[in-house]
Amino acid sequence: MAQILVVDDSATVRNEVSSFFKGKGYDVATANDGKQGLDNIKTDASIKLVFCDVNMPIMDGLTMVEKVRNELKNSKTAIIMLTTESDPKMKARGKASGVKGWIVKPFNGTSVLGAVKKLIG
Amino acid sequence: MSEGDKLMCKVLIYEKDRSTLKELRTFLKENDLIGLRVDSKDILEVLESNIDLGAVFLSDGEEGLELGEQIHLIRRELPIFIRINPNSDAESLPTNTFAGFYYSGQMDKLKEMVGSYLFNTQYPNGLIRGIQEITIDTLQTELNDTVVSCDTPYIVKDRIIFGQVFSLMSLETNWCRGYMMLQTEEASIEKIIRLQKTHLNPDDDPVDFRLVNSVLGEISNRIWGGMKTRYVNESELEDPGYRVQVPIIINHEKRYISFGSDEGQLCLRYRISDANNNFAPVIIFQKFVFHLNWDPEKFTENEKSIDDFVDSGELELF
Repeated sequence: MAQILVVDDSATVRNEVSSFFKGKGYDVATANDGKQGLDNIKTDASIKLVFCDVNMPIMDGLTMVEKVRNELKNSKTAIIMLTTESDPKMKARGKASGVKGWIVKPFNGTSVLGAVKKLIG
Repeated sequence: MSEGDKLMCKVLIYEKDRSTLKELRTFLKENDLIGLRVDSKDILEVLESNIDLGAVFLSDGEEGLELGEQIHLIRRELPIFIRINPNSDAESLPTNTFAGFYYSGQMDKLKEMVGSYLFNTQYPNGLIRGIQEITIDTLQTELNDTVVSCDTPYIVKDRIIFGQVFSLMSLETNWCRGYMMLQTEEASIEKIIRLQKTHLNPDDDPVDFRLVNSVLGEISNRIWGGMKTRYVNESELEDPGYRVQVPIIINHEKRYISFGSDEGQLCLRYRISDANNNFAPVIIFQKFVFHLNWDPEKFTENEKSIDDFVDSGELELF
């Protein structure tokens, strides 16, 4: 049971983001790639928010988002991309797939905490 | 070109003649070369400890010829320029060992050879400066309370890998295709993980090469991300179609990597120090190989990139 899921192939990022939110009292789960992330979202209904990288092996982040929207049509899970990508075309693809927000790395927990509280309480 | 984006090259010098040495000193200064002067007895030892060289300048005589043969045997990628006596038979020099010869006082000829072998690739100033800025920013963000400095960028012909661990990041724009390598020592990175200078928690998992890989991987990823923001305009990317690839060969025992090209590599050496002096400086070599495409005429810097950097870390809600 987790409120936040962090999907990133980098252990450094997974640890950085999950440590920050655990420190703020949230339950956090992690996944190493889009396929694992998709499985987590499918099997854990308590996940309210996902931080997801774009460039990952096995399944990239935007494909994962598209699969979430196609396969879990009623999913209310908010997805925020956390990536080094800043290309407007990629952001547009994310937006069209239902991504709620976009963060260009590095991750700055303090600056996103307010938005996270609004999204999941 | 400012000091920060000027390109240098390290060369090994074995020269017995005092007047030529004096000439070479001026020559090095005027041609952005850093000279490492060696005696014949310690030349192989110096070669062993300097794996980021661009060329070798040798003195004439039997000793010079023998050293040339030895160096060529172990570091074939280093061009060797030999000074010969005007009475010597230049025709008899083995052309596969020596890239060229010059007579004392022929500094113009030496300059031509250096230009042709070492500084034959033009790197836009904005690229060199930008790489340094992005890398220093990334290292300081990923490694807490550290101070990062960068030596003057230089060209290396050597292919020897520094340290035990390195990352290879594919770089692809409409003006370049190749790889970025980050090379460092495993123990140094392990130490900074243990000191909690990274975003990893050393209590969660045993600190070993896997965590080192993770740190280096994320640093590589962030640098390429920064470069994409600054230099890649996705709308200008051509349809990839068929893309040429060549095998990359790594010899583990010899710590040698080959991209199938003789071209020099753009090298930047970073020194990461602890703000509180808790660890010895960590060295990271960053090398760029644009062996699949290099078209600096098309190089552009995105105007929006500065704003994008300011905005990085901020959440953009849709």
